[in-house]
Amino acid sequence: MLMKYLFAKNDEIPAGSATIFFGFSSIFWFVVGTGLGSFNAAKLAFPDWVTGTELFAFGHMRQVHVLAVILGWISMAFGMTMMYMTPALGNTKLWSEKLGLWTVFMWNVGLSLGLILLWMGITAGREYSDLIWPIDLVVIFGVLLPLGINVWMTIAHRRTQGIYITNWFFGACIFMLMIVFLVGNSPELFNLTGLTEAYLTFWFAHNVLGLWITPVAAAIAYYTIPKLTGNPLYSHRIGHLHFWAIIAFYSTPASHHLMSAPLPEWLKSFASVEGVLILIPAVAFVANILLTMKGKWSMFVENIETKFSITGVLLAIPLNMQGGFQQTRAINWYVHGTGWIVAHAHLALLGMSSFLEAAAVYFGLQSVLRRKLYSLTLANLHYWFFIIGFCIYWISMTIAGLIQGAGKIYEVPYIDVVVAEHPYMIARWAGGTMVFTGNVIWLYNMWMTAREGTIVPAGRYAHELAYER
Amino acid sequence: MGFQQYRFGAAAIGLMFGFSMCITLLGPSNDFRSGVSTWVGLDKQLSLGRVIGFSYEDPLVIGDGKPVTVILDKDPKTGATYDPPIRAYVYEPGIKFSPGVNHNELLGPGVMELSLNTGKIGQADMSNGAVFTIAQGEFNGEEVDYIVNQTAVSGWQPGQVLKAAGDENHRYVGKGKTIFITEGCWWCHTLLPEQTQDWQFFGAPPFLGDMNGEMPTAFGSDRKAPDLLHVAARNSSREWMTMHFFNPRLVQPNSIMPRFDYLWGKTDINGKSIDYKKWRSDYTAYVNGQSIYPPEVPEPARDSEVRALMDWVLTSLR
Amino acid sequence: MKNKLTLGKTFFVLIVAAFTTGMGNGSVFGAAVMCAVGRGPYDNWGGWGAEAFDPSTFSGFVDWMMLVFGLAFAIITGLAMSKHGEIESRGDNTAW
Repeated sequence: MLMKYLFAKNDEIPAGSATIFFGFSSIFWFVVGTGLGSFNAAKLAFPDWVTGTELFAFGHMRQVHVLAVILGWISMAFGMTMMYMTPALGNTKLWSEKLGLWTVFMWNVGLSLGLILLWMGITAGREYSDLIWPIDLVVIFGVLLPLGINVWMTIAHRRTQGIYITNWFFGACIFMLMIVFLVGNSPELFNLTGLTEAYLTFWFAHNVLGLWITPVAAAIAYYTIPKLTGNPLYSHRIGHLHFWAIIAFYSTPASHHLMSAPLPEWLKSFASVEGVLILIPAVAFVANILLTMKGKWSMFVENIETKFSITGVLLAIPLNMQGGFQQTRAINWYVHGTGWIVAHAHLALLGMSSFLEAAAVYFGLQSVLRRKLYSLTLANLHYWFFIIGFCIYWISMTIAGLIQGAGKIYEVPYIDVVVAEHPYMIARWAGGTMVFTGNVIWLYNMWMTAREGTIVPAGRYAHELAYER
Repeated sequence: MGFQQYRFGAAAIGLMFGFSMCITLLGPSNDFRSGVSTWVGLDKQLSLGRVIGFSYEDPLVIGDGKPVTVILDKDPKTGATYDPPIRAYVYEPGIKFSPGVNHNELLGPGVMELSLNTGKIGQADMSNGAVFTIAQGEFNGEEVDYIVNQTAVSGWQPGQVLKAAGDENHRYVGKGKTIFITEGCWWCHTLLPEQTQDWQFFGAPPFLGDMNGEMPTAFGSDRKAPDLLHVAARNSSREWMTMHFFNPRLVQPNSIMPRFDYLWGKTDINGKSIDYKKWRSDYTAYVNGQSIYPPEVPEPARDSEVRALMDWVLTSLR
Repeated sequence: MKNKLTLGKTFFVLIVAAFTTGMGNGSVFGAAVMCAVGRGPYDNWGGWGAEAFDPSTFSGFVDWMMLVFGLAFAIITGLAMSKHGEIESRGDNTAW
């Protein structure tokens, strides 16, 4: 089907095709990514489980898990939301449905190729920018550029006077991500070495999180919550405060990842201060969304998309409290390099961000397919597997991290820390497996929605019908 | 009217992002440039070669196109003995030089001048290969280490040096770090002791100039295992490492490190094929208490990946 | 309209979503306090009410802080939700 549309005339492609392909690709990668995560976690808990082959060695799979989730699930869910939110907010249609489909195609092909190579060990050896530079170029020019062109042109051809806050985020974040990819991978492209390479690795890593994953997820909530509840956004000004604060403060604190490297001290202090300033956009975002909910809080327990969205927004509170303070020198001294950081990273990606995207994918696929969700029970099951699995994971890893931190500071023999952490490693595996199970349910549910979901009549929203029989 | 606002908005995004890039990229680049290569930095880049990981010379990331480090106890030309032995970095013809040889400014002020004038690294020619060593000198009253191109200075030829040293003194450091990267050792073992609290176990954190010319640095961020930057200073036993890589539970029952027995390849040092199946069933019997001793760990072949990995660990991480 | 946000309906959402949120904040607070008071000699500090030499109890204090914060957050959110439910059930949006 995708093949047919890739070479069709733009006008002959049904509106929303790109959204659908992006949506299902993202769920597929989520299943793959969390499955790998669960497998990796099992290896940390039971090191002799699957052993002796290079292919299933932990060191070959860990980065595949990370990038499948970041570039497959999260970024493709972003692509999906951009394909339907941008035109909806501009009261127009997508600039080019065909370009959108080519983007999905290139994305899936490029990412599969890159991940297979990574799995085989063909890597650049730089955390988060593990992909070798030819694949990086595919990502920049084959994926991000066409995605950006589509979004920017749709915004330019809008039929509304203003640009809604979500579209500000979409347009700016794609642009910044392209720059971040180019600059962050310049050590591979131009063979920059030494401390420059180390610094740029984390400059890239931080900015992908700070300028892409968290702000775009927040931008999605600016669309879904008003749309689902029917309330107008509480304050556009606070929304803009959020947006400009992200651009101004959160493009700078990269070096707080390297507090113990011989970077210039002024840079570390600067990054640390800028890192605390994340609280400004964070508070603006959370307050804005929670105030938008006023009068509709019952949807938090009754409506599945709202449940996902608000859970994501609530998880943004501890995320930013941790994120703002753990990178100050005092706390970083204690938690750097421990499981705490792993927990925090999952709080950002699996907690805050993924919940918001799941809501948007649920909502978007239903409204584009114009079909009601196949099974609300399965969706609720997905939610509970997801949230409980995530909580188990996050709590166990935070505690494991604190144990590690204490062991580090009091210079306990490392093996004692490994022993003390073992129960938490098992809990981590259990939690991750729950998330994976939930996602398998989700993929099935969404697939059945596309095939057998009740058709939504014109003029209604799918989520309004959720409880009508 | 409205349009103007968005023009302003787009320009503001560009300006703000550009400004933050000036602070975070241009700012520190001056500090980085002032880093004077230390002995550690020179040793690292000379022994690792141009780049580790995916590259033109090593597209499959198996450790091709890397220099060989040799431990020399006597001058291969004159026969004069070295006590203690020195390290020579042998680049056979066609092997790409480490970044500092071609881009001298990477070496930092002082090291660059000495390496060019006294060490004659400018005369190194890739098509003929070259042998480098590290020497100590003085520049403007400061003691610095610098690179000596022994091919130009003393007429050492790569093949001759390799032969004079003999295989037992070859250290496949570049290939070893490649294995470290592809096998993902750095997902658990950091190479970055922290400035405040790691001194007792893991040793001193790296200095500015300790990694000039190294790519990638692979500091790691998620420590699930001990830091390795100075591991060979804590434990330099090749026998211990052989057992530990083959199956970490042989020497540390509580370890969660994966087994890296597949790095041995098909045969051991005597060319005998390794029977992994039998080894594993013997090991299971040992774990279950059916035998008193664990099975013998095969000695790795000379060209095996694990030998290169141990070479790197024992030579570079001191 | 009846109150849709009774404790019975919100309980599990609160337990999970709000409790985790609180625990996140508690972890930061706990770690900050631990950094502030915990730099004492190794022998006499293993977290309050925890053994000093046992690495598995080092995190004791922060665990408690996380629980306390989580509980507090769940209670606050629960109260707020039931209040919201009350107002929403009146169908009255002027009381904000």
